[in-house]
Amino acid sequence: MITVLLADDHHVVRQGLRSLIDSQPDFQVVGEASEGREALELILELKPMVSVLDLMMPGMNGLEITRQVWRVSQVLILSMHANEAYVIEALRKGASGYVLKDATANELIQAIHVVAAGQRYLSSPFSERAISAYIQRVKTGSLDPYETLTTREREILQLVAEGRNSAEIAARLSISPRTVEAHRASLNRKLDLHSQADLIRLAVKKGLLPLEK
Amino acid sequence: MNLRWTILGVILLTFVGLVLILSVSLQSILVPHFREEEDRSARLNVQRVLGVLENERISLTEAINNWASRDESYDYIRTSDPEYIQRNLSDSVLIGLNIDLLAFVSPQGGIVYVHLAGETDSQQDLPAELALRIQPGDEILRGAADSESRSGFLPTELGPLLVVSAPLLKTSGEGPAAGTLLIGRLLDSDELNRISSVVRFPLALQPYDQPNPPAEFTQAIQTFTAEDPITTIASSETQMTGYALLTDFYGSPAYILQVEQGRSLFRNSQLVLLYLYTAMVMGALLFSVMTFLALDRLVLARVRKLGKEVTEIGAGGDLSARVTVDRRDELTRVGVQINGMLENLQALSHRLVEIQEGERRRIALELHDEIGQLLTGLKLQLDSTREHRSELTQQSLVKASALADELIQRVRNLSLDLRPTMLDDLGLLPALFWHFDRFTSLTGVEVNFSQNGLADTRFAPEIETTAYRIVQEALTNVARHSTVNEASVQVLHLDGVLSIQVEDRGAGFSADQALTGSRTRGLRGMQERVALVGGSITIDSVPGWGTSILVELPAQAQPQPDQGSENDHSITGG
Repeated sequence: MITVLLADDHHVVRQGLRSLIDSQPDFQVVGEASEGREALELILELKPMVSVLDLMMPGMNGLEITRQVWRVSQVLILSMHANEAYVIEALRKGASGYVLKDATANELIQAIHVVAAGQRYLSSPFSERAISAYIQRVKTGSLDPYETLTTREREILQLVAEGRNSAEIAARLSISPRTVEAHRASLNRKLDLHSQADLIRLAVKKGLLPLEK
Repeated sequence: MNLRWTILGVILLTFVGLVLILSVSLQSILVPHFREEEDRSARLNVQRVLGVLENERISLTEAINNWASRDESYDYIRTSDPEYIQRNLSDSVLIGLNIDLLAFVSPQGGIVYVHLAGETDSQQDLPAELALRIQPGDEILRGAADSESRSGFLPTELGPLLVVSAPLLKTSGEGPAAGTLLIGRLLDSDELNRISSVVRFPLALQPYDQPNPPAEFTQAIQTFTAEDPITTIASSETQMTGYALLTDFYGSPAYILQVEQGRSLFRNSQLVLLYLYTAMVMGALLFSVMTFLALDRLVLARVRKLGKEVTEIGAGGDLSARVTVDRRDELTRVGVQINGMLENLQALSHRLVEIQEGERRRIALELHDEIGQLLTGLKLQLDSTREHRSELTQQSLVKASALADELIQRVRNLSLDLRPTMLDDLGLLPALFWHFDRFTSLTGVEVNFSQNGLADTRFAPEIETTAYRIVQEALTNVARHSTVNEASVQVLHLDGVLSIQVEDRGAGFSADQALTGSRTRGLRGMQERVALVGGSITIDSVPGWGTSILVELPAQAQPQPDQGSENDHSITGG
């Protein structure tokens, strides 16, 4: 027999879940909660094998509850969000499974089985690969400061390194001197440049200026 | 026609009007006055000359009375005693009295004695004109009953002769008159020069009847009247001539006295008029120029400046801009009012952004948390009631469940479009990832995204919202206007500044284009949002080069709750 606790602030959803779980002979619903703090207390008290938690609940959200109870109960997050970011966040907090609310009844029952067995379960749109890809995406987003320069900033860096002033650069790129100043300030901040000497050094290092004339 | 030209026109008209009125009044008051004065002084001078002539007559009359009322003279007419002439009327006496002619005439017209100055004794004849007159009954001879002398001019071949005729009476003044004593003085050029040197005017006596009189004469003769035998005529710019009609012994017009004088009064008046005109025109000109300059500097230039600033603000849509307020007057008050209105507008605009965001959040939450959950409940209910039903019922339940799925999906998308919940739940980065995926799938525009310092970092909710909306709006503009299928988005968090750059290498736009259409609303919306959180926005677009939008927001990372989970590693390790 697998003991299950249901926490969802929506009565209809809870009722639907309960009638689904009750229809399974090897499941037993040991408790229901409609609010975050109540759910936390019940889980700590009843220690159900599986806690089915709504991601967003008043009082305390599912993620925060997970962070506090993942050691005493396997957590299956029930969510409307078909978004990797939520899945990752849930997994980081200690959840064992992430099931979308529009999953079929069978999928939900299967998920509870898998999670109760101590394994990870992710709803059908998600896979370990998708999660890895997302994590990779977040990581590759981080850049070397020089890589963060925009095309415009690179053009301006080149021209500044060549010794042109803002007015000349503005005329050359047909933009206003004010805009040039904004770009210069931005690139100086990105590259942590404080003087023309810093800028020249960087330009030489990046091959924008020849070492010897 | 603008205000400046209108005012210039009005001032010019006023100037011309002023000059006209002043010159007309000068002409109608001063000029006649000067004319009158000049005329009066000329008449006075003529009268002075006439006075001198009158003196001549009086002195002659006195001289004649001296001789005519004496027994000796009374007797002489009968006796013709040369002794008497020797004693009383010697040449030296007559020369001393400046008497040119002297004659004793009997009542019958017989000439008893004639003396003409400067003539030899044998030539002692009366001038023809006078000799003709001497006959009984002529007014020039005194009758027996006459006791008074008479005088007057008589034209002669020698020149104008001033004649006095007196009855010869006894010393006691009794009559009857024994005859007539005539004395005369020739007003020849010497005499006239003498008078002229006394009155200090050149003068001349012209005969009244001339064969070819000068034009001025004719004019003068026409203006003489019985009461006023004096007239003046301005002969030239510098000369004024006075004329007086002189009658002869018998009262007929005989001579015209001509007195020439300078026109110093006229010249003075010309000078005064010139001075007044100049002063007036200069004054009016100065007044006009000063009025126009004052109006231009104090009002027009400032109205223009104010208008320009208002137009700029209106066109640029920068509601944080203000018009210049640098003085304290009515115009400044207008400027202050405009600034007040701008302030209200700005506040309203901010409020609009806030309300819009708040409403979106509320509706998104309502859709997601309430309607979405209810639909989920419905679906679960449908699913759980499906078992142990007939084939037919199961089929319709499957259909109902599919419909519920569809509904759930739609409500979820609607909610996320309004406001992605991950923005509140998980932060900017997941929300951006979600938006890029959705944006690309809807528009086909690929997003090259790079970031630094965003992973696992949360900022103040309004900063995250602003950043998200900026990226959203900028990408919408790319999809709408740039005609490219690639855009780059860069979000960096460095030193408390969150900088967002959205670039495309598309069509770009010029400043003019930016002010029209949907793009403006998008750009203004961005400006509003950025201004609301105290950030800055730089929009850099060149037709043909592309568009770059740089936004910098003040953003401090918010403290995160403890992540403390062992699972961390297993997950992030991937």
